[in-house]
Amino acid sequence: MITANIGTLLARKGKRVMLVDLDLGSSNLHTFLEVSDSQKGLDRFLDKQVDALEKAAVPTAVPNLSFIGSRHCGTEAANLYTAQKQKIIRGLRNLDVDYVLMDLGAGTNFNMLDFFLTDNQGICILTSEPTAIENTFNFIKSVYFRVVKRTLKLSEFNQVTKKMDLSGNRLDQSFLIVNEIAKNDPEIGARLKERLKEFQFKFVVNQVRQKDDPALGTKIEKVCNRHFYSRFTFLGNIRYDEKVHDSIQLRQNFISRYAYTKTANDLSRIARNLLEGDDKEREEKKGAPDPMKEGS
Amino acid sequence: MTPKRTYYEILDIAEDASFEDIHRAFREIQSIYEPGSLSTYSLFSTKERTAILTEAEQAYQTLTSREKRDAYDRKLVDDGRLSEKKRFANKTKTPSPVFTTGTPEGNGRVEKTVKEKTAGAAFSKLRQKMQAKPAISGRDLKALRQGAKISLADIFEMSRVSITTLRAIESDNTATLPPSIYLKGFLKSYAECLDLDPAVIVRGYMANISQVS
Repeated sequence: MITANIGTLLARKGKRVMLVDLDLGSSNLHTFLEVSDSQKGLDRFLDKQVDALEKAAVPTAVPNLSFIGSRHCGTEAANLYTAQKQKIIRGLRNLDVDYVLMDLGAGTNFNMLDFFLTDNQGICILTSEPTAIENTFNFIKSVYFRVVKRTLKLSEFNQVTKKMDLSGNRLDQSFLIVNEIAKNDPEIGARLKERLKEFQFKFVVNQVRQKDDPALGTKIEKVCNRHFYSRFTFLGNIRYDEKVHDSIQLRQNFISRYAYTKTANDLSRIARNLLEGDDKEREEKKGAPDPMKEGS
Repeated sequence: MTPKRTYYEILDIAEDASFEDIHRAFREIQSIYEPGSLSTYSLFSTKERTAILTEAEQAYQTLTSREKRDAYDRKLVDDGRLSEKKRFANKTKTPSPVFTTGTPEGNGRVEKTVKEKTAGAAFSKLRQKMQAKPAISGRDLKALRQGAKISLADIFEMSRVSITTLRAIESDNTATLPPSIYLKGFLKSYAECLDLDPAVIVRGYMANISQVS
């Protein structure tokens, strides 16, 4: 729901946006976009019916907003072969748009992590519930571990982890792994920190009720920036609204159906924060033209 | 080896942060790491959380005490981790004075000038003559002051008795004089400024007032 709405808002701001449903096996993003049932998508790219991912995209009712669905990819699509996954990642990187918003499902399987790591920034959506927060931290730790494994050569990884005293903790559960590596092997530690510093996590707290702590997102941002090496940015809260349920029942995009609600304002503010943050970052990088890729 | 984080880094504040900023930062850390906090309960063990809070508490205790903070900052400067310019002690502003009298040199200079003017033999003679009188009027005081070329502003600067009150004293205007309990105090201050005997001046002035009444 959030991917479709943020995508719509960015497209309304004149950005060329591509929505990609990568919640393979459980895809449902098409529900909000009013695209035809028979419309094919990612399957055409994987089956080599089209040679570029862009050609698997279909336009939506919103100008500037295109969509690559995956509902025809089959029920076992979640278990992609490595070659297929790499093909999709290459296709995503070659898309000629301003924003690519990937809708990723929950979980920490390799496909999910690798899609998330397609670019140097990603958006995590969580709620104020402890389970959701715990899952978010688990996701960040998994991303870190994935980056560690991808950055180090296998021999380096084995050499480093052999020296480590993890005090009975499982290696993949320790988000302090980078600190441990830096302590034992400063050179490798510095390389990892550099790689992780490039990465930016953005996050949104969804379904915020009145009795929830509105500062939760800011606190999580603070904690993450203190203890992890990447940059964390809280984009904003989205208030709980029964009308979201109504819009899903109607299979319509919330922002189009209920534009004049507080929740719609929240979504607009998040899209604005996203754009402003990216503009600022581009200025810092002095106009680097890389398109941003988002995953949720 | 990575140096230990400074108290400023622990509380995530600037080196010249005000006491209010320090307090706010500490409260925020408490709310983030307190037991059961939604934002950290799944990230840290109780032991880790306690260690973080203890560290923050130590930073808070040091930085909210002016003396301890100054000593800590000096140590940071010695270790090359804080520039002398950024030391909080160098940034602290002195409160502006409530009274401004256009005397940038300060009160010390006024006192010195007045003392010089009252130290001469001529003044001493006039003083003795006046103090010998059983009743001393405001006009007597005014004549003595003006004879020594001392302004009312100088008396105010030294005594902090308002110029309005000083004028009322010198004009013997009983209607505008303050109640006698305060008046005696003001007369004492006035007398000290002109190096007169306060007891004699108070007694003489009050005697004069009663005669006038």
